[in-house]
Amino acid sequence: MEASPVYKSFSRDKTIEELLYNTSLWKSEFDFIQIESAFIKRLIKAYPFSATIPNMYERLQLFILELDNFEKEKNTIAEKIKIYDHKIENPEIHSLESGDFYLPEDEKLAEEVFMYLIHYKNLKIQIFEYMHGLIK
Amino acid sequence: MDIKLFFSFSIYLYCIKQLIPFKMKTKMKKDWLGREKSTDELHHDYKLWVSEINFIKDEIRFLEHLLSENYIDFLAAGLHKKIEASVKQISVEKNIGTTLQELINKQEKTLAELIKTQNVSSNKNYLESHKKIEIEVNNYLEKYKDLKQQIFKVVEDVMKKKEQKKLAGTDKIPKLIDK
Repeated sequence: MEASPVYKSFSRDKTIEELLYNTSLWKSEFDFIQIESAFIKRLIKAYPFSATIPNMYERLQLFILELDNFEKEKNTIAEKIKIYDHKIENPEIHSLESGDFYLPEDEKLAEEVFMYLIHYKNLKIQIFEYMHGLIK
Repeated sequence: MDIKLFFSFSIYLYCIKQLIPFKMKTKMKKDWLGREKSTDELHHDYKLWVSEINFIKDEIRFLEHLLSENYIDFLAAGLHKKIEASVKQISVEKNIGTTLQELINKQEKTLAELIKTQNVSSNKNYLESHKKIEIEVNNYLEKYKDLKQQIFKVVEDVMKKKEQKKLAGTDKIPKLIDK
């Protein structure tokens, strides 16, 4: 597996349209993860693995547990995005700022979403690599 | 100051003030859509795209393996056409991924050359092709997500049919015990 990319901030001002566009991308990414992780869990639970690898059942259960934890974390971040979205849609903020603006909150949230996606993808690859060996 | 001139000047200032929000609004949109990226940002884009495509390659390897297994005895489940279409589509996506990767590598080499000659921001062709690749990568990622959803659906259909078969088999157990 290759090294995961790191989050890099270019600390530039963003317009409200761009901020809103970014949050819409994050929300759509999370919606897809919801569908995908449900599928992976069903696959782990329903697949008739015939291999007899030591601790296989425990390992699969741990994957399910990790996916559940990721789901909880996703919901927490999704809630933050919702609050943030509401904030940038608020007309009072538009009048406070003169033109383009930069919100440290946006950077913080962007990094949180980025790191979440990287960790989620790494977990997915671990699960797939493990299951690949079991499916004969 | 002449009173007439003073009023004209005040009216002029008032008009300018009224125009500022409109000017800013235009600038906001223009800056975002047509914004030129720094060389660091351009280079970072390549890294992210390559990482994304490599990740998809790993995932595709698993999905191909999953769809080619005996478990998916799709002929019996009547899902043959659907699975065949998904397998074909996977192969198409894999090829597009490789082409995109080659394109990105080439573009990255061009960036390195332009940095050496300090011509990045003045080379409009290069910046245009960067934007085009960005659009291509985004389209590719979206299409791949659609394909995955199709595959999830097919595999779930197979799982459901398997479960139904299993349940049908368990119905016979009491009868066998009675015998």
